[in-house]
Order: sequence, then C-alpha cells, then structure tokens
Amino acid sequence: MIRIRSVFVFLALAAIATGCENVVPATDLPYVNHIVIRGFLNADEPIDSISVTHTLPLSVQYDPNQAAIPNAQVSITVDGRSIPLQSIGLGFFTDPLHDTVQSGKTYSIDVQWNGLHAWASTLVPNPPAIPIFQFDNIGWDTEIYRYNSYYSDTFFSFGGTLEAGIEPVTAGEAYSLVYDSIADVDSNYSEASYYIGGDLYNLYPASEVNSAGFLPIFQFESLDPRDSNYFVSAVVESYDGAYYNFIKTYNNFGNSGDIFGTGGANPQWNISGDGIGIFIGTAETRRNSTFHR
Amino acid sequence: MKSLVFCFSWVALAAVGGFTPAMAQTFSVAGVVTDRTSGETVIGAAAMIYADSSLIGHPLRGAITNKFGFFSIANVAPGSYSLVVKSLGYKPGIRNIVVRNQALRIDVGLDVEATEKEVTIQGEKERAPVSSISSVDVKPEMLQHLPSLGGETDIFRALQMLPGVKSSSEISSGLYVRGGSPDQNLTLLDGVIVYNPSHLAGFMSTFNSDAIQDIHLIKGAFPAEYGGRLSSVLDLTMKEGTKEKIEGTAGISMIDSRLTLEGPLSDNSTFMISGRRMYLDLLYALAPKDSNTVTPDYYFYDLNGKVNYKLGENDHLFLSGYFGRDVFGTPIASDSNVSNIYWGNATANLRWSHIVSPDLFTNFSAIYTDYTFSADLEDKHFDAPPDNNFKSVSGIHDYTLHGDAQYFPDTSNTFKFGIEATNHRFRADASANIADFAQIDQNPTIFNSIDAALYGQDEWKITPRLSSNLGMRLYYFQDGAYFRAEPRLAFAYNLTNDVQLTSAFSVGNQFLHLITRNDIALPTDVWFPSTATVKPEEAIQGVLGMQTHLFNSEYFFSVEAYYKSMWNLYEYKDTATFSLNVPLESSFTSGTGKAYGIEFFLNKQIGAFTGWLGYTLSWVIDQFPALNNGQPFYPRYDERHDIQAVITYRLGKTWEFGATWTYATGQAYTMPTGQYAINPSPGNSNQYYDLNTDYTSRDGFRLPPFHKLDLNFTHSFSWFHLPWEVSINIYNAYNHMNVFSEYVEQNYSNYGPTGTTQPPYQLHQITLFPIIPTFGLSCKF
Repeated sequence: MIRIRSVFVFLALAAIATGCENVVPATDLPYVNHIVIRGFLNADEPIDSISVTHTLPLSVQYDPNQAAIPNAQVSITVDGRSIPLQSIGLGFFTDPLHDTVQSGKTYSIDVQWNGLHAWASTLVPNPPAIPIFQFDNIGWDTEIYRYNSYYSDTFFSFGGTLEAGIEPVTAGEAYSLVYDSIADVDSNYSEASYYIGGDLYNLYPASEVNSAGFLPIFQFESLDPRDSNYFVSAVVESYDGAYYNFIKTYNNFGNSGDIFGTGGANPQWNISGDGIGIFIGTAETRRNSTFHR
Repeated sequence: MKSLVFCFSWVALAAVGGFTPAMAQTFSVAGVVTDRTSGETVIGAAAMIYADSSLIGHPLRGAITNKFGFFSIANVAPGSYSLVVKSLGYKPGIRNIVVRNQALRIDVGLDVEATEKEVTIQGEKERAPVSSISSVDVKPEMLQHLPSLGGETDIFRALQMLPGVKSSSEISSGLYVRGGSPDQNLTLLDGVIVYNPSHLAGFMSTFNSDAIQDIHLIKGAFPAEYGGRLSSVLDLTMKEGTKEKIEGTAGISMIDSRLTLEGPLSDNSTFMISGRRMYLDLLYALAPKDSNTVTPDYYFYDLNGKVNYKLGENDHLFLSGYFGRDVFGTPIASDSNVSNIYWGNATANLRWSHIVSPDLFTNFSAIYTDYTFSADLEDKHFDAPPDNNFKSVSGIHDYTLHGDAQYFPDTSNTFKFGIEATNHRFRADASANIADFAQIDQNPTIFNSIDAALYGQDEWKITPRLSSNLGMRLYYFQDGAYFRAEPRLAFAYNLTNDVQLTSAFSVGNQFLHLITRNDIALPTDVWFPSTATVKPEEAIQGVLGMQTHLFNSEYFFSVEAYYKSMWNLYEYKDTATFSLNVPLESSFTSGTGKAYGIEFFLNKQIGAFTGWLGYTLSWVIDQFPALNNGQPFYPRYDERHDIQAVITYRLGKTWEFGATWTYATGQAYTMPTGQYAINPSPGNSNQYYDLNTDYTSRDGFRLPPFHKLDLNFTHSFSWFHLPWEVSINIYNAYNHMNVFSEYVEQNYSNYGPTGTTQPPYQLHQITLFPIIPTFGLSCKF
C-alpha cells in the first residue's frame, strides 16, 4: 500500500511540478557591445569621477580593467564650452580644470569609442530650500526581532517620523528626503536604519510632492543607538527627474528571470546612441538635529 | 446626438433592408429539436423542407436551430412536405408534414448516430456561410479523445490547437486570439461573463468539459449580438441534464477528480450538477517533508449547476450557475514569508425563453456575476526592505438584465434584436506599502458604473448566392459618459455549391481593461473600468476568407486573412508606483497595437479517422510611447509560424487513439546580451558598484522554436456492469526540451577570484514539461 501511494504521489508531482533546467554553452550567449556611462554632477562640486566603461560578454569574468575604456574620447559641454575629460584609471574620468558644477545649467556628455557613440544631457537643479523640517513621534524602544521559530534578537531602537516641505517644486525634477544617522550606530548594524512606508530611496517625482510643497512623511527607525545624545541628519536632494525613472525601473526589473518567465529588462536610461547608463545633475540641502534619550 | 440618431436609423434600415413581404399566403413551420434520449436541445441543427418524401434535389426552405434548439422556416405555402432535421452525430429526423391555413409547430427528437461517424470541429455545411466566418464549434465529446496533461482534457488547451489561437506559454491556458490578449475575449457561460476563466494560475480553464454541451468560438469580426470585447467570443452552453433517468459520470485524473450528476427532477424538469476538486494540497501532505522548506498549499474547486423547467410548450425556465475558487497560501505557521493568493468567479443566470409565435422567439435573463482576486505577499524577515511586500485586490460585481428576440419574417431574413443593462461595481487596489494593507481590506477603492447596450442585426439572404449579416451595436458607459456605435458587416458569396467567399468588418469597444505587466499574468493584474482618463479600448478588424467542403463533405477547408488595429491598450508603466497615496490609474500607460495574418484549416470531420491540420502566419505589434523607448515591439505571444495537427482514430470498438503535434516560432523574449557595472546611488563613490546584465529591447530576442507531440490512448471496458474508460496520456512524447524562459546567473564553480574580477555568467534554459506519462479513469453510472 505504501508503495502504491508513493508511486501515485510521484506521478502526480511529476505531472505538475516537473521542470528541467539546462545550462547553455557559452558560445550560444548573445553579446552586444555598449558604452556604459555613470555620472552624477553635484552642484558646487567639481566633475571628478565620471565613469565610462563598456559592456563585457556574459561568458567572461567581469574585470573592471577589461571594462574600462581609457582611450575613449569623453567631453562635457556647458554654456557652449567643451571640456575634454581625462582618464584617471579603472574607467573613471575627471575634469582636469576642476571647475565646479553650477546649478541651473545644462551639461552634456559625449563619448566616442571604437566606432560607438553615446551622449546625454542633464539640467543641474538648484538646492531645495527647506522652510519646514520636523521630527515627530520620536521614541526609544526595545524590540525583539524573530528570525524564525528558533532564533531571535533584542535591539534597542530609536524611531520616529520626519516631515519636510520644500520650495520651489519644479516640474521635471525629483526629490529625496534621506535620513542619516551621523554617529553612534553600532557598527554591526550600521545598515539597519530604514524607512517604513517610504518608497525606495525615498525618492519622489515633483508630481508626488503635495501642493503645499510637502514630501510624503516617512517613518524611520535606527537600531541600537548607544549614546544618550543621538545625532541625526536629514538631507533633501533634488535631481534631474530622469533619475526617478532610472531608480524605479532599476529596482523593478533588475532580476534576470523569475518564476513567471518575464525575464529582466533594462532600467530607463537617459543615455542615447550606443550607450546605456545615467548622467544626472543633483543638488542637496542638509539639516542636522540632536536627540537626548 | 445627430450621430446617435443616425446610428439608430442605420439599425432600423438594416433591420428592414431585406424584408420582402410574401405575396401569396404562407405560413411558418417552427419547432424545437432535441436529443430524443436525453431530451436536451440540439444546437446548430439544420431543419429543411423538401417537396416530397423522396428528398431528391435541394430543399425548398431551411433554417438552423438557435442556442435553445428552436428553428423557424418562414413562407411555407399550404401543402404536403417532408421536414428533415440533420445534425452531425445524429441520425436525420424525417417528418411528413402538412401545412394548412395556419403556422405549424413541430418538435423533432433526434436519435444518436450509432455508426462510426464522429464529430470534430464544425465549420460545417449546415451552418449558413455568413455565420461561420471566423467561427468554430467544438463538440465536448471530441475533447475526450485528445491528449491531455494529467488525464483531463482542458477546453482551452483544445482551442489552442486551432489556427489563430495561441497561448502565452506552455503553462498558460489563456487564449490569445488573433493578436488579442485574454481579457479581450468575451467568455460566456450560459450567457454570463466569466472574467477570469482559469485555474492553477492559468494552467487550466475553469470549465469542466463534463458539464458543457456546446462550445462556440468566434475568432473575430463577430456579429452585433456580441460586444464589449475587442478580439473574440467564446460562448459555452452548459448541459441541461437528461430527462431519461438520473445518470452520473465520475473521473479521476492526476490533477483532480470530478463528478457529474444529471437527470429528471419531474416530468417537466431536469437538472445537472458537476463539480471538480484539485488535490495537489492533499498529495503534498502525503509527500515527505523537508523541515527547512515551507510548502505552500494550493487547491481549486469548481461547481456547475443547471435546472431546466419546462413551463409549457412555448416556455422554458433555466437557472444555471457556476462557482469556482483557487486558493494558494503559505501555512499560518510560516514565520518568514506570507503568500496568499486567491481568486474565483461566481455566476448565476435565471433565463426565460418564450416562443411568442412560430416566427418570434424571445429570451430574457437576469444575471449575477462576481469575480474576486486577491494577492497578499509579505516578507516578514526583520531586515526585509519595505518594498518586498505587495497586496492587490481586483473585483467585479455585476447585475445584468438582458433581453433579446429572434424574428423570422421570411425565408430571406432573420432579425435579432437585444438590449442589455449592467450595473458594475469594481474594486481595484494595489500597493507595495505594507501600511496600506489594512486600508485595502477595510476601505477599498470602489468604482461604480452602468453600461447599456442595444443591438440589431439581420441575417439577410440578398440573392440565392449572396448572404449577409448586417448589424449595429450601440453602447453607453456611464463612467466617462461614453457613447459608442459599432457597425458589424459580414458577407458570404456562394461561388459554387461547395465554395464560399466570405468577408467581415467590425468595430469594437472595450470598457473594461485588464491592466497587465509584460504580457504575463502577475499579482499586479487588475481589472479597471474606463473612466474620464482611462479611455475605452477600440479596434477595427476585417476578415477575408474562402471555405469549401471536399469529398462529399468529408473534409472542410478554409483560409482566412485578417487585419486588426487597436487603440487605447493599457499596461503598467515601467515606473508604476503601487501605493494608496498614488491613484492606480496614474501608473497606467496607453498604446496601440496591430495584428494581421492568414490562417489555413483542413478538417476531416467524418469517419473513424478524424482530425485537422492548421497553419497560421501572423504578426502582432504593439507600440507604447512610455514603454521600450517608444519603439514598436512584438509582445511575447507573437509567433510568426504556428502549425497544429490533431488526429483521432478508433481502433476497433474499445480503443481510441489521439495525437496532437504543435510547432510554433520561438516566443519574443527580453534577453541579456552583456554585463556591466554601475553604482546606482548618487555621490561619487568609486568603491561600490552593482554588476548587472544589459538586455535587448523589450521582447527583442526569440526563444528557440517550440514543438511537441502528445499522445492519448483510451480504452473502454465494462466492469461491475458499468462503462469505464481508462486513458493513458503521454505529454511531450519525444521529450523535446522546449524552452519556457532563459536567464543568466553567475557561475561560481571553478571560479578563482583574481583582483577585482567577478565570475562569468551562464545561460540557463528552463523547460517546464519533459516527457510525462499520466493516466485518467472515468466511469458512467
């Protein structure tokens, strides 16, 4: 009887749950060569690390030295002036003149390498003014985190909500409100500060900032603050709106393949031509606060 | 307003366009055709009047029975005739009749054919050519002889073996008809819309073939009596139940068990009830457990029921219903992740058919439909990012009143008019923010809307060789205050007695949208109504074809070319935000689509050896400004070449053999083509980067071609004085490793890190179903 039952179970599971997976020879892997640009132009800072590399075939070990293209012709154009960038190794390029990036101006990048041509533009936003900035519902607590039925940990935690209003809110830009513990975070759990109910990166397009200029309130929590004086910082950053589209899609489709067979997809780049990547202007305003236990 | 008046005028003109009053005094001969044994009505039978009992030459008049088995032959002069009723699978019913000075009512009972004749697909001669454009009728008995996976033949999988009908993947029973997505199919069960006709996440349809009497598929350019969808109509009729005695059918397969009971309730009433229960959860409970793995529970069940009450010679009352649920969930004891998904349909239809006179048939329905979908995915790990959670609900709650009438004024015209009004209540929410979950349950987003439709059509025999179906459907949808007029035109020309040329044109609108992501059914899919900002989907389509019967009607051959253009198709944006703070519709983006192709179909309809061969050459192209950088793309279900071969063969009296073979161009797929490193975060840190894969444009790659052979052997035998059937199925008989999806993954084996290098990628191909033998057992009692 046991044998009959086992056979039945086996056949049924075979009928429904079988699936096979084959590894395809490396020679069958498709390859398309693209220039990869990664550049953030931070207002009031020099252009000191634009990354320009190229895609490597899937079948090789990824080596930053192989991906680097130090012989690429890379230039930045602003106000009609072209600035050739210099390679500083491992795919990074810098402005040899160390000019600072200016808010309100449009910067363009142009890359040519090995017959490929990629380009992009970005408008560097102004640092946002923060007329309203408020921590609320601050609390200190002891929390038990249960990993599973057998293991758990007890943490001391600090949490609350943060509200910020910005002005002006400019169409085509995106904003993030970032909570950042400056000090006194146990090194083992330094990554444990997180947002509750906020979107990824807490990044919002201008259309999601309310009419009074308030970014959505977010809840935060830090685990294991040790000192009685707890220093925190909040940063409001403004971005070229293309960054919002990139971040949203970077995390939506980053995985290649899933149970539904949907496969992956590229994020929304703002690079044109034979390139992929991002070229984003950004500016920030920072506020600090101190809390006492 | 002027256009509205014009439209109504058009309907009226179309309705009277071909009406020619008979000059001499004539009368109608009408009746209902039933199966003599079971008492069930016979749909699509041909009733013909001959001048004398020799039945020589062409019939004088003829008509086809409707879905209630009713026929009406107009303009019959007084005299003696032979009435012959024919339907595939039945012996001809012959009655000698005398028409005197009044209309004649004569009901005909047909006896089942006991010869080796079999029924496969009907695009057959009895049906008027204009009604058979893009149409196929599938007899449920035929399904029993087709191979299946798990021992139970699925209606949708059988339909996928027809030219022009595709699936999105091997695991999907969803019907993609002539480039239309599954939500663009109007799926009717006894006249009631079934919004999500799938079990097992699309692996099986919700329809239990034991409970179905008739399957009618119209692949496009459908007549005015149908509406509300862009692509196709699947019209299923449930069995009424036999009047002979209480009978049953029981079946056990590798996936589910099923039981059907039918019989008389009284002299005037019959019933049918049929249920299925899938028992994967019970089988998993028997399987050895791995303490480290949480196995989700999954099961589905469905129940069909119908009561048929004959109030009198001219009145029938039907009450039919369907209830089905799919439940997928992690056990409550799970402390890591919660994945609870359930969906289901419930329908009920109280229908009254009334024969007002021999030339006027009416049908009235009060309909209830409920569709519910809910997905609740929660990551309970303490360090899980907040966007690892997801909850969505989608629901449609409809109350519908429907009435239609069929009028047979003369031999050249059959008018059909109808009116329908539906009160919709939609529920649609989706959020990745766990703080929203309670609100979704307690205070869901509700949309109410009313839609109303009015239609008229005339099946008009313009000349002995040229026939047409001219119609118009008018729509009103309350939310957004949309008025739409949909002309429907179809023509058939008899080139010879056996060869017809056909053409059809239609305009369609769809006010309900299934918002999907990347062509595949996901928990993010929700039904959403048209609103002021979400426009109705629109389509125009045209069909040109030729059909013929060969070798004394033993073979049927058709070729049809189609072109369909669609607007206001909706999908989620790549940047969709799932939060109650953001209206769901702000995550939608609209685009256009076009589909065109040509289908060839050769069907051997009669004999011990039956089957068909189909070939489709087709293109589907979508374009959304906000997707794929605004460039056109082929959706996943675009398949350039599609070949289907189906055969059934009777080996003696106890064995049946069935085989199906399919070949399809590889599906469009988004494929990795390289690797790159990038730091997605702002700032100029050089220390950190993600290693990612670069992809083709959306669906810019083709998977390898798909092909497989399925076999079925059915043996009939008697045991305990009961007829039994055991079926042995071999799925993917030559074990071809069809690729369902491909993905890349870094290969750490044999990887010796040097410096800052990362291991290479490997391409993995996933095959869902290798060769799988299964069996099923059924018994009638």
